[in-house]
This record gives sequence, structure tokens and C-alpha cells, in this order.
Amino acid sequence: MQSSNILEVESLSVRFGESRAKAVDGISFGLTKGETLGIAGESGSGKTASILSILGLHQRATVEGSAQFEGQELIGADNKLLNKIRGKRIGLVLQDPFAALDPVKTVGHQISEGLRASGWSKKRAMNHAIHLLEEVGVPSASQRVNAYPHQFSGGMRQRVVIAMALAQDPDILIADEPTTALDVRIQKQVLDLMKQQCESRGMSLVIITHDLGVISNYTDRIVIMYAGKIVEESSRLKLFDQPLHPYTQGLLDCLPTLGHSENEYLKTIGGQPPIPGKLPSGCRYHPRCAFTEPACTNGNNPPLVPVKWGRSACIQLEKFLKESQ
Amino acid sequence: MNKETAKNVVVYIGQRVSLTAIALVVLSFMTFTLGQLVPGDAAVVAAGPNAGNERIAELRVEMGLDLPIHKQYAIYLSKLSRGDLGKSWFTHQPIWEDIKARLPASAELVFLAMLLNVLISVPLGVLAATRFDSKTDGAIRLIVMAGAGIPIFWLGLILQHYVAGEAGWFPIAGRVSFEFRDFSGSTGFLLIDSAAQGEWRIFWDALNHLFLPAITLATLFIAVVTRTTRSTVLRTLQEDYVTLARSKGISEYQVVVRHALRNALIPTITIFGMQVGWMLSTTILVEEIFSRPGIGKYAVKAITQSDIHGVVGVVLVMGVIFLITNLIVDIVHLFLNPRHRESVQGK
Ligand SMILES: Nc1ncnc2c1ncn2[C@@H]1O[C@H](COP(=O)(O)OP(=O)(O)O)[C@@H](O)[C@H]1O
Ligand code: SF4
Ligand SMILES: [Mg+2]
Repeated sequence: MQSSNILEVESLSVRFGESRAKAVDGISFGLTKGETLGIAGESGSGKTASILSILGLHQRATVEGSAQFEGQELIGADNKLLNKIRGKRIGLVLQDPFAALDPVKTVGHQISEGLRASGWSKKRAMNHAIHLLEEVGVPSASQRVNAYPHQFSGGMRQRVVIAMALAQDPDILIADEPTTALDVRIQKQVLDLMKQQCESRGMSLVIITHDLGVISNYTDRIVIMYAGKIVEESSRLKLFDQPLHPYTQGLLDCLPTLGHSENEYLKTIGGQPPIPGKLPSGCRYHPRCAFTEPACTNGNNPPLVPVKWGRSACIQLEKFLKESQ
Repeated sequence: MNKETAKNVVVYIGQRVSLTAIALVVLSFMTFTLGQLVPGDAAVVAAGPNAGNERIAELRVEMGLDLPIHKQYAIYLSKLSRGDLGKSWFTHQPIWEDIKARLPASAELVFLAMLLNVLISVPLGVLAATRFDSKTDGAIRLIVMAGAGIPIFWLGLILQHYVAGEAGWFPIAGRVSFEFRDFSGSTGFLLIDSAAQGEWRIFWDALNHLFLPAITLATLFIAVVTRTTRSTVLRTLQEDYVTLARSKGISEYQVVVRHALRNALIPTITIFGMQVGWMLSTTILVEEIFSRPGIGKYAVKAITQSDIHGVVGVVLVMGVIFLITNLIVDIVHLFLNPRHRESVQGK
């Protein structure tokens, strides 16, 4: 099974500062070639920390566990090895397009930089940058390639960032909340663009979001994170039809549904997610869960248990499985 | 840069130049006022102790002291524009000639101190930032604290006594050795003239004389810029664009230099610009300690001789240099910062 996954993450933990608590606590998941995976969870659940750690991009984090790309261990690897994976095999898109581009370099420079570092001539790399800008839908690409980031709108900047991530034709594109900072109208364009690029390139796609609604149409499989742990993993269809974990149910209940008036209050899960270091005992979700039982509050965090189509970490899993049948 | 931007840049530079001109007028007004603060009657002082009342009255008219104050200021301005800063009471030379003769010595000192500053503080600041919280960072922080805490005059005296005096590694004082005292050239800059004439022994000698004063002058400034570079680079290293630059798989050196440092340089250049002016005024301390014949030492002499016009002349020249370096920095910013280049219109 392991061999079919292009990326295999195993018991990955991330701490900030030696003594501090784990912001990511032993998560495991795999990604197959060409697959689209969603990682969802409230803000602070450790999504960004996980993916930045996989690429060795969290400067001050202590990372434990394993993340293998085509069998090569990335955790603890030196920059020399990581730089063969970064950009070339795994491309990255971040949340805020206004912060993601260097304000003093032209977008062409930034898109072509990785190619230049692997020995492309300036002319060839720039031509490729123009081609990429066209591909991601930036108009008049041959002129815009010499423009600076501030001369682009937010949506266009995110396209530039995507072009930058695609420049070295990676096998995986990881997008951390790629649309959170964008208008609703533009969100869809950007997601469509990424999806279409992944399909045409046979590239795997990981979309991270705090809003399940965003990825419902774009990913084959979804992983739900809560307080540094994966609490559920499911196929997209199953997740929306038959959410097993109460937290997933809570997230789904919060989604605006078609047919409801716009003024209606959006539901939210009551309470706040815990912060690392101040985790509740037992199930980390128990202070906010609608189904909490005495057994939920004691002992260890419930383990992830496999079901036919995924995994779930709730001690009442059996009950929910039965109920939903 | 497109045509529109190019036009804006020209307009912007024009505006900065006019602003600088206005600042120069303000400066002249301040130095004029300063010149009015001569204790007692300027004519009496100028006439000397043995002059009679008639001579004093004559001088008063000659010096324009009988005119209303705004006319005096107009005369002052027109004199200034001809480079006439008055006569020194102790060298009996036109002050501008005095300053012109001494400025190259100070400029050489400031230039070398600035060079040391740029070459040491920026790499040190970057090193501290990239090694945040390590032993290296701690050591650099310690050096910075020491450098910022040592009084300049004390550092100068210590270096002079131990490094020049006891160890004998450098000359104790002066601008050049006695045997070369008659050397001169067209620019007045010893380093340039000696190099131009192929007099490398003199070049080396002058450089040796410059070294300890330059270190003395630069230390505080190096400490300041090291600290600000460290914190600015620490900040830029946290930026998403640096993370994304890293995510392209380029070398860490390229990430730091091309992105983190390149962005951190924008505020750093502003500090450098101001430091040129501050260094120039700090030559007053350093040149006195090392007996270097520059405008700092001249200022000290003027002060001790109560030669207010000499002091005013030095203040004026330092002020002009300060304004001009800041004008240059403003223009350099246009090249460093594309956002700035674009937003200059209408300002
Ligand atoms: N650089 C950092 N230093 C200290 N704590 C951090 C840092 N980055 C993230 N954290 C903490 O780690 C937890 C997970 O953060 P993050 O991965 O950004 O969550 P998400 O991306 O899911 O919103 C949060 O509690 C956050 O406060
Ligand atoms: S273990 Fe208990 S508290 Fe946790 S999600 Fe399941 S039912 Fe809720
Ligand atoms: Mg995040």
C-alpha cells in the first residue's frame, strides 16, 4: 500500500520550541499520484504547520515523525535533498497573495527563479514564465511578466503564485487556503484553475481550508483536523452524506445551504478550539461535542479507527455507524 | 520602468531637489541667527582692543551692522551664495578657504568609516538574523551592546594608547607621516592624489593614519546598523514571500540575499544616509583625539577661540552635506523600491 502513495506522512508531530506542546500531534495520511486531497479544520488546528514541516519550511519548529516523497524521507533531511523536492516535485501556494510575492522583484523574476537555479538560461526561463502566465490566465502576459506584484489585483497575484508553483512542473501542488483572502467570485476561478492544471498535468493536489464548502467540489478525499489531530478521513461523497465524527457533523452544519435566506445567521460550533498546551483530557473535542459522554472526558484521545471508506476517531464510532445506516 | 513612471520619477526628483533647496534656506536662516549671538558688539570685537570709537563706527557700517535685520540677512545670503562665510579670527583666512582645505581630510575619514560600517554591519546583522537565538547571535548581540555603549572619545583614547602607542601597529596621530607632509595633489584627498600619482607609499601611509580614527568613528554606527539590520532581516525572513522563495528549491543564500536582505536594505539605506551626516559631526571628537586636520578639529578650534563665524561655517557645511546625502538616499530609494517608484506621482 505504501508504495502506491507518492507522499506518505506517518506520525508527523510539530512543536514550536522544545518544551512547548505539539501543534500537530502524530498525524498520518497518504497521497496517491493524481489524487486530490482536502485538509480541513478550524483555524489553528495545525494545517499550515503540517504542510510547511513536510517541506522543511518551518524555521523554528521541532518536527518528528516521517514524511516520505517517493520513499525519500523529508523530515530531518538537509537542504540539499529538500531543494531537489521543493518546487521541482512539490509546489506550494500560500493563503495571502498580498504577502506571497516579493514586492521588489518582477513577477517574471519570481516565476523563473527556480528554473534559473536549475540552470536554465535567463531568456528561456523568462519565455517559460510568459507561457505560464498565459496558462494561469494573466492577460497580456508578455508585458505583465515585467510588472511588479503591486501592479496586480489579489486574484491575479494568486494566479502568479500558482504559476510560480507550477514553474518547475511538480508532481504535487499544495495550496494552503489559496482562496481565503479572495472574493467569493474569484475563489471559484482560482480553484477551477488549480483543478484544471492538476488534471492536465497529472499532478496531485492538496487543498487546505478552514471552510469545507470551498473544497466540496474539488477533492476526491478529505481529511479533517482538530487540535493537531486527524479526527476523520473520508471520501468526499461519504463525508457529506455520512459524516461520522461529531466535529465533522458540526463543520457541515455550519455550511450555508442553498435555499436559505442570506440574512440567516450562519451557525457556528459553540466554543473555541483548544490551543496546544491547554488540551482537554480524553477526546480533545469533548468540551464542544453534542454527544459527550463521561467516557469521552477521561483517558487518552480516541484513536483513529478504520471504516470501509476512511477513518474516524470517536469512541462512539460504532453507534454513529449503526445510526447512519 | 515605463514612460509614465519615468516621468513621475523625474518630477519626484525635481520636488526633492526643491525641498532640499528650501531646507537649505531654513538652514541658512538658522546659521544667520546663530551668527547674531556673538557676545558683545561684533564691531567692537572685530576692531580689536586698541581701536577708537571712530574706527568702530566705521566698521559697523562696513559690516552692515547698522542696517535692519532683514537686510543683514539678505546680505548674508548673497555672501553665502558666493561662498563667503566671513573671515576666521584665528587663521585670518576666509572661513570657506579654511573649510575647503580641511574638508578632504574629514571626507576621507567619514568615507572609510562608512565603508567599514557597510561592510561589517550588514553581514553581521544578516548573520545574527539567520542564526537567530544561537551562540553566534548571542555573541553578535554582545558585540553590538559593547559597541553602542563605549563612549567614542574613550574608545579613541584606548585605541590610540594601546594599539598605536604600546603595540605600535598604527601611527598615533596626524593625517600623514612627517616625511610626506609636503605632498599635495589636485583634489586634496590624500588617498586619491597619492594613488593618482602612483605614490603608493604615501597612499599606504595615509591609509594607516586613517585606520584607527575610522574604527573609532565607525564603532557606534556599526553597532546601530547591525542591530537594525538584524531585526529587519528577522522580520523579512518571516514573510510569506521568503517561505515561497524557499519553496522553489533555491539555495538558502539566494533566499536570504535576494529576498530577505534585499527587502531589508530599503530601511537600512535610509539609516546609512543619515549616518553620513552624523559621522561628519562626530569627527569633532575623533579628529581632536587623533589630531587630524579636518573640519571637526577646525570646529573645536573655532569653539575654543570663540570664533562664532568659524563654528557657523562648519555647521552650515555639515548641514549642506547632510541634506545632500539625504537627497541622494531618496533617489536611491526609487531604484530599490518599485512600489515607491510608482507611487511618487502627486506627492
Ligand atoms: N511560528 C509559530 N510559532 C509558534 N506557534 C505557532 C507558529 N505557527 C503556528 N503556531 C501555532 O500552531 C498551531 C497551529 O497553527 P497552524 O498550523 O497555523 O494552524 P492552521 O493552519 O490550521 O490554521 C496554532 O496554535 C498556532 O498558534
Ligand atoms: S469521543 Fe466523545 S466527545 Fe469526542 S467526538 Fe466522540 S462523542 Fe464527541
Ligand atoms: Mg493556516
